Amino acid sequence: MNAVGLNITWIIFMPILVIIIGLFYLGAARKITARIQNRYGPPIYQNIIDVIKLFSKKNPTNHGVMFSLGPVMAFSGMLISLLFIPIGNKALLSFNGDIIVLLYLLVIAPLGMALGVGEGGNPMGTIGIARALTLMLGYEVVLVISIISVILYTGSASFMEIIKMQSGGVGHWFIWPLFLSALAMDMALQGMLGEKPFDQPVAPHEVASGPMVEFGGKYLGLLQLYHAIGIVVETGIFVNLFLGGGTLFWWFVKSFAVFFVALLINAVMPRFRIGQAFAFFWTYPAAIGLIGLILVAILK
Amino acid sequence: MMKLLYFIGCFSGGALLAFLLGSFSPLLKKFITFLAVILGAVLFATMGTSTYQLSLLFGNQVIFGIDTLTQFMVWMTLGIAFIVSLVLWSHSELSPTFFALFLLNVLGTVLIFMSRDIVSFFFSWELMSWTAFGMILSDGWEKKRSAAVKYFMWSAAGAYMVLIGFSILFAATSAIRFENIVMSVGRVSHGWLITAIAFLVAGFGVKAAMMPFHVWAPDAYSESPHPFTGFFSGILSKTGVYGIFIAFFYLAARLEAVPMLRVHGTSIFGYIMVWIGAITAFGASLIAVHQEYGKKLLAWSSVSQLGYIIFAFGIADSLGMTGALSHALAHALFKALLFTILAGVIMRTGTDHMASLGGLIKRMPLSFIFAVVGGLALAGIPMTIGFTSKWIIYEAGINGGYIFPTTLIFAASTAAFLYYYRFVYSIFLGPLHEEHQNVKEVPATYWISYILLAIPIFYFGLYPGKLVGIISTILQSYNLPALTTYTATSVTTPLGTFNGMVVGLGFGAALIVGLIVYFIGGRVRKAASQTDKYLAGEVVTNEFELHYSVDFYRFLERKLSWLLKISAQKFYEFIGELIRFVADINRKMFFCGNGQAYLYYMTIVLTILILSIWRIKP
Repeated sequence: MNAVGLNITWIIFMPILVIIIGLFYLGAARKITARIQNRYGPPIYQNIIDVIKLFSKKNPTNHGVMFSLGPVMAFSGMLISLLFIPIGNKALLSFNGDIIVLLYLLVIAPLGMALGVGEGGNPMGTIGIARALTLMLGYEVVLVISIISVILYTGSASFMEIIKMQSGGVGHWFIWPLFLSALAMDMALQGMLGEKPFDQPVAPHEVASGPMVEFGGKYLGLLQLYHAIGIVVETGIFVNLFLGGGTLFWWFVKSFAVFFVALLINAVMPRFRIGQAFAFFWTYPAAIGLIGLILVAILK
Repeated sequence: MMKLLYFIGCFSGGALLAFLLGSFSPLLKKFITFLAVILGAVLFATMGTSTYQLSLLFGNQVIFGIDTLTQFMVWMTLGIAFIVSLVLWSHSELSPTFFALFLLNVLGTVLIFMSRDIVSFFFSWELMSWTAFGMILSDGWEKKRSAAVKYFMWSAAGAYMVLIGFSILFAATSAIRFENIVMSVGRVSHGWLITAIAFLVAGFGVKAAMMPFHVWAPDAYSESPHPFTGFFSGILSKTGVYGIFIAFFYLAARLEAVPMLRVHGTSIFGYIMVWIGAITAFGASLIAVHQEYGKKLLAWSSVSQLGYIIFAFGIADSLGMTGALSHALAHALFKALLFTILAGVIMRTGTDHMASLGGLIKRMPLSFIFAVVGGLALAGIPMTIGFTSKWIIYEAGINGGYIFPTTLIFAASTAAFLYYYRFVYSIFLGPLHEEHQNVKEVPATYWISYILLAIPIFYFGLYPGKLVGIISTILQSYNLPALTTYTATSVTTPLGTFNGMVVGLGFGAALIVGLIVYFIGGRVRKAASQTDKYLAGEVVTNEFELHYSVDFYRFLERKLSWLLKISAQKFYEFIGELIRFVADINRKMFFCGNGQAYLYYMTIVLTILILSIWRIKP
């Protein structure tokens, strides 16, 4: 099979693989959090069972066309974002768009979900979305600062180029020369993943799971799938930019390692108020990122 | 020659007819306006690229010309004007004066793009400003006075600055035509050239709502008649952008040879404009987030989007200029779409107060769909023209090494999601209010115009190379650096690639997969009523306010209050107070009401006059 054919095969096969692995990530997250909190926790494949259960549930409430389309758009938006990051040296579609294209593709999913939640018309859902967007304004700035420093350092915005420059062992990873940027991006990642202390949008005790409040049955199932892909994509950006990509196996190991760090912080942290979270992003992580950016600009 | 006269005659004659006959029958004024715009477009299509000389009294001549940039801007103008004239079919309540002024306004705007000398430029500029002022007032002097006067004062100030800039150039080169000015600009000393450019950029910056000259824009945009606002914000602001382009590339390029005036690979003006643009984009979008009225929100968003254009112009390399011109088109399209949708909502419900609206998706689904389309372009989602232009601007910023302004631009774009969601949620989503139960969908003229605007939004999103191609032709004809690495569907910059078609097809396929997954799941149950929701066991009735729309981003406002407190408006009010205070002291000192004192003043003035004449005479 030639290279193009192989790539097309991977484009079809990769989403399925990522969904399964992403669901295992979620299961592992529950298990690890439980062990840290001295509980036994559900089995690691629990989320796969959950998704099957949610899809076989009958008669979830539907509030209108956009309400149904919202989760579909969220799922599809994440699917297309997935194809624009190289996974395990498989380029997929990433030759057709650079990091900035990916950043804006990543927005389709939350936007679709936000529109769906809006038609649901539950005030708690909308408060959740308002919080999520505020949080996004916080972490997106930090994320962009880190990404700009990588682009400035490499002179390219293409993922494959950046991965190629990091090839040749652990010593060549950009996490070493761009340590401050990587640190800032990891903080932004905590917000992107919605792990504590940045889980204000879904805060179960405050807004009853926020955006998810009206969604049941297959809607929730779609959102679970969206979340599963989202974790892989978001950690994947970090892996590609700072940890040098790698073969398929190592890529997922690295991606899980990044997720694991986020989990450990999540397990022991309380929740910020949303204003505090926003202010936090625009102070410490932004400052760290800016120092890193200035260093890159000076040294380059 | 004759064609240009026909063109001018078509619009001014149409204006006269609409004004005279409009009071007899509302149908006539709409028909005349519609016909005049179409006829104007047909005439313009036959004109091609050429130069026209019009002889005025006493043997003076003014020059009008059409080149590729003119064509780009004029087609944009006529396109949006056509949309407005289409929408106006549903607005019989507007006075004939409005229709007449609208046609004259379109004429003035087109003539600005065509003028090739100082006199015709300034004449067209004034025609455009005055008619817009008249249109803001056409709803009645009492209601709109504050906004209209503010707009007019700022326009006048901007026009004077432009006039001073032109006068300096005229004094230094004694040329009126642009081409002659450019030829002899080498003779102008750097000091005068810098002064002239500063005045020109500031004067045009007023029209382009560049901070800190933006204070008129939100008021004027939101107070102008609703169907016209899209044209006002989408096109009239572009005259300022066009002026900056002219000033910058005819004149400022000369300064780049002076090492002292070069900063960061561009002229010092470019560097200042990059920062002003970034701050405008960022500041205005943060203000837009906290607006309670739809038109105000979109108006601030316009100010913010124009900041992007100014930012990109400042970078002034091939990427920057391509980005600026493509965003000029993108902004015109999606802002016209969003303002037209809002005009439709106001027509059906009578308000743009977002907390009083809600749930209109049930009654106006078409408007909602296109509000989403406009929002996708505004937020810069791939597959729409908004992304094509924004992506080029980002790459230009990073490639040029303007890291901090680019970060601000990115933040502004994220803030755009915030205000866009607030806009679409508060108006179309959430629970439907009791008084809007019988609201109807907008009439056909409206949704046809939505479709007409949505086609280019998607076309240039899926074929970004086509847009870049048009703009590269323009830039090459001006001997400016142009982007050449593009195909129909993809654009490549030194940093990366964007292929609109692959993204579009990919998302289409992903959407199909999503729908298949959706339909694999079981049947769904339709919600019984609006209150059929998870509300933690609370029993609610329809009177219960479930629309979360007041103080939408209160938590953000609290954290940003220190930033939002900085207000140019307050600064100008302070200056106004200061002037009033000084003038008051003046008044008390000199206008004391004592006849004897006045006599003293007269004696002193006369003495000074006599002395000065006596001094000069030998």
